[in-house]
Amino acid sequence: MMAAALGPPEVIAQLENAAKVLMAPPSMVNNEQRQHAEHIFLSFRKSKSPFAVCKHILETSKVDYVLFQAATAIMEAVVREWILLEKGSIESLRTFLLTYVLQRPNLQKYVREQILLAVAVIVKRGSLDKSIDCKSIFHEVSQLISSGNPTVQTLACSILTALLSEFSSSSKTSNIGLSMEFHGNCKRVFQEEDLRQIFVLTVEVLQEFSRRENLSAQMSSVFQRYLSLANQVLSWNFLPPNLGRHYIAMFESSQNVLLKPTESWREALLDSRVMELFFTVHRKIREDSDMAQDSLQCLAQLASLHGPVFPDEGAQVDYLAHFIEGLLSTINGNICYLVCRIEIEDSEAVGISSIISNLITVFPRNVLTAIPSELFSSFVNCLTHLTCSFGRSAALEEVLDKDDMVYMEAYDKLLESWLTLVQDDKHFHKGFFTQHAVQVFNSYIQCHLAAPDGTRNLTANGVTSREEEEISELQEDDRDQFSDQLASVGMLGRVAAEHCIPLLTRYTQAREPMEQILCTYTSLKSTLYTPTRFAHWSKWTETHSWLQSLAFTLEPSLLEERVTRLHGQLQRHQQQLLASPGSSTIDSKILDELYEDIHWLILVTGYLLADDTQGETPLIPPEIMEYSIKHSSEVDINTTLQILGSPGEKASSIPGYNRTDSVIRLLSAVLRVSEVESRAIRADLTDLLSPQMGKDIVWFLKRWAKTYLLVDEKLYDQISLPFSTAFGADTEGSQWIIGYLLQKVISNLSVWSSEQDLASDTVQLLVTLVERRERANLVIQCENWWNLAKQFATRSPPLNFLSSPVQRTLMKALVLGGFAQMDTETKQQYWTEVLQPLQQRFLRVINQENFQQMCQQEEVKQEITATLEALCGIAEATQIDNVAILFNFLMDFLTNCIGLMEVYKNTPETVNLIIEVFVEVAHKQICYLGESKAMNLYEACLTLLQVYSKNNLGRQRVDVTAEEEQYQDLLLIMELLTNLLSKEFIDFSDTVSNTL
Amino acid sequence: MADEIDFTTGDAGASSTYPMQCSALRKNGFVVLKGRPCKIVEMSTSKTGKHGHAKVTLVGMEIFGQKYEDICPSTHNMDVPNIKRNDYQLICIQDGYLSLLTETGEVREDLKLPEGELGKEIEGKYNAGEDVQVSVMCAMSEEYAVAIKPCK
Repeated sequence: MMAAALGPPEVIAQLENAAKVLMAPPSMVNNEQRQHAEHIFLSFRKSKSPFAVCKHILETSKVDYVLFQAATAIMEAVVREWILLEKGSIESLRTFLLTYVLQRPNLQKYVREQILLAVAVIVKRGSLDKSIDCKSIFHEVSQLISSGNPTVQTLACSILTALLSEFSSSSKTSNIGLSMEFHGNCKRVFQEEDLRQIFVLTVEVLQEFSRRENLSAQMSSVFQRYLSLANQVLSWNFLPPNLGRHYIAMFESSQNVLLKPTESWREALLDSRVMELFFTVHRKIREDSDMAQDSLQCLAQLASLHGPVFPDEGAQVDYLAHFIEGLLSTINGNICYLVCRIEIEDSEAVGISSIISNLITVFPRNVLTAIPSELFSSFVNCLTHLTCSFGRSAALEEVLDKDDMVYMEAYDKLLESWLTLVQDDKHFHKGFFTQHAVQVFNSYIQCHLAAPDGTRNLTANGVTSREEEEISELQEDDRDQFSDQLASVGMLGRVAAEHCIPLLTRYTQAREPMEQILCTYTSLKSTLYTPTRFAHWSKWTETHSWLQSLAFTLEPSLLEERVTRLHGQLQRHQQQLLASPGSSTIDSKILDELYEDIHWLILVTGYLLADDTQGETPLIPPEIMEYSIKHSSEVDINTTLQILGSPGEKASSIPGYNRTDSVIRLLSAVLRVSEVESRAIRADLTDLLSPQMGKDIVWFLKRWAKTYLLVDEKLYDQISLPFSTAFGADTEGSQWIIGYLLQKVISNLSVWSSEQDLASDTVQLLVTLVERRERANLVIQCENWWNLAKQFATRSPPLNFLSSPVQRTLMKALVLGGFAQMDTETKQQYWTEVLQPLQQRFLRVINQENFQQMCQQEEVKQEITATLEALCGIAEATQIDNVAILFNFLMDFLTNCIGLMEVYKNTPETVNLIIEVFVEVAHKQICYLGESKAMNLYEACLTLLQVYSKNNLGRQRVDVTAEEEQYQDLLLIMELLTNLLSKEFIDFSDTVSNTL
Repeated sequence: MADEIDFTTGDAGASSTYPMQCSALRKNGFVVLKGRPCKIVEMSTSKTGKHGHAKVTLVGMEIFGQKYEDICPSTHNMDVPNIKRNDYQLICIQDGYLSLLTETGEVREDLKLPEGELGKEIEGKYNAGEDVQVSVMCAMSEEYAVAIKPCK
């Protein structure tokens, strides 16, 4: 409209003015003017057939923004008026735009890109009705490339990039008002032919560059652009045929694209020169960290090649073998199968680990094993060395507190690859990975132990202490933060159980003959210990690692030895305290080092011996079971039991201690740590102890108990005799351990009530002990259990010092224990001790005549709060087989709670807690309830809500925490309603018999 | 302000608080910080070094006002104020003071009309002739009107 009404010069003037307004600083123009200017551009872009005007603008205007808008207008109008336009005029428009850009090398970048985008959109729209011959554009581009002029070559690259993003049908694609299917079809056509052609062009350019010796800065920037274009092509998300609409959307949004081209790419990608080119390119530019990102990414994509592009398995094997050769020579400098010398840049670590991780994830095992065995073993050797080296560099990054943890990321990737690799036991002969596993495992341990055994906190400048850091509660515990690493290392430890289990526990008898090597090692260490760069560091650590792995066989037990040292250290502190009481200047440095060592050893041991499973019954890992069975003939069961049953004694002081089961020995080593802790507490040295270590101990014991305690023999083909004797059903050993663990729990709950995390891990251990009937049966035979129950019922210190979540979980455990097998009389007695006091005390309080007057007294309020908290804990203990009893018990309370709602209507904390009880009951029980019981609960909830609304209608409160907390009650009510509604889709109730 | 009672003295102070281990305190509960009864608006734990013992950082706010912060070992015993809430019927407002009818039929006139939104609300409702119930919170012998609710 506008174009028709005004002549081209007027249009240009109008647009240039509007551009001025838009570009003006906010102080110069008001909102209205700005909106008006925007409107001018919008309506300009909507004007009918603006081609002539736009061409005129492009040729005459000097305002970049107006040029940009003209390009946009052309692009939008072409798509809009496509069917009305003559093919010839579209063709000439496209030529005009390309020529325009070519003739103006100094165009602003954003204008140029927009014009090229318009070209790409025209090509894309045209590709479907075949009206535009795409070939011509490639011809033009290849001419541009062969010009040898860097500026023109850059432009050619921009054209290709624009085409690529336009056809990728990802979020980068412009919106041209056509269907998803249209985009999909365009993409499929494009990826068959044109994309390949772009790739071929790109490869040619890269080949050309890689041959040149000295690249000027300008040339090198062109090189970089083409490399990045190659990366884009190789990261293309190939759209498979016949993918439905919904899947296209899902497919396109997937991250981490693997290279799965169609068959037509065979020639282009399987040509070994292509792969070689990318390795050559990378070697050429590896020191330029920016460019190396792209070349490594290209290689990583090539490492993920799979799908119909391979004609048969043989081709895949050839490709992989070739690739690995290229990779090894890149990493090693020159291939030498025996010694792997790693020479890589810091910036390469992540890229190289992605390459390896892709190879291991994508190539099937049978292909991996089909490559020449020598090559495969040097690949695995290289992987081992890289893993160890990255691990050490990652540790260094941590000490130096680097922001960018490249080695940590690379290490994570490699450890994950190991996990994939060793979990396959069909294609590799048994023991194939053992030596490698030993090395990775050793180096992990080594990085986490203090000198002299390990290298923790060691930098070029000596030991750095990180002990004085303030650590907030938001900081994740190591066992969660590094759970992936630990899982991999644990798995490797199982693969090399023969080495790793004894390593963690005890002596191996190789002392004398190795003494000499140790000397060499020590002297080497002093001369080599001056790493200035990571690259040197890795060379050094390589020698170091080899010697260290030998040195490790010399070290006495890692865990047992540290327990002894910890014990000695604490004793010395005690003597010092006794000699000069009140002297508070105890140097805790040695202790902290020991705690940190023990911390990591326990974490690794936990991950080695057992898995963390949610909801499933965890099984003893087969490798561990096998290991124990294999050695059971050499093992003296009685001595093993003696070691297990005497955590207070030094393991090596027990005669015949070397003929014991190593797995049990490892558990008993942790029990020894626990015993040292308990003794220190009894000696009043709690202040010197580490709550972190306390946490590690109970975390380990819980993990261990879930898997090993009262092993269910039915679940295994074969069971180790030491295991079944020591912690099988009906054994003295299991009864003893349960008693020991219970004692530990009780001690922790009173000593560590102020350490919430530790207390919480401790009650979790207790729950583990009682949540399975078999274990609970033994637990309730302990007098301590009854004492704990009675003590908790009295609400006296120290148990009432525990934080409320811990108290709730404790209540849950006590209720679960009540469902163990016992005779009627005992059961009666148990409930009299545990649940009845709760009911009696509660009723006594609320049935007092003057309850209304007393209700605000602090003691009364505390009593009520404690009861409500306990009710939440009871609800948490609900299981399918106890819900009938618990529901009836809780229902009585719920009715009374509604009365409380009335009494405490002006006390928000109590009101919230009451609603919370309902929330918990609904959450845990509604799914099991039959119709009539569910109805009872609905009615109770309804009454609750009625009372609530009566008391709160029109109420206004002042609250200092108004913004975040004032609506806590409403949030809880919404949660309650959600829980009630969940019955609609999760319902386990037995509708037929309706027993509940 | 001759008739204003001095709340900082008086014998009620002795039993107006009770001790509680720091770790057992909870957010939204109450605690005495710098001698003042506060509601806990923030509570977080930290430790010095990985093997250090837990310390608790408490941020509390006075019922109408100032913010206080304290950091202490989690084994530490903190004073927790006894909190009492009573609902009274509003009779009238005079010279910036509320006349309230207690449950026992007595009238007390020692409570100030609160400042801010709630005060305006009370005044507005009173002037409009509505019956209003006032919730009064008492901590360490200090009393504040904290909520209102229309009667019926």
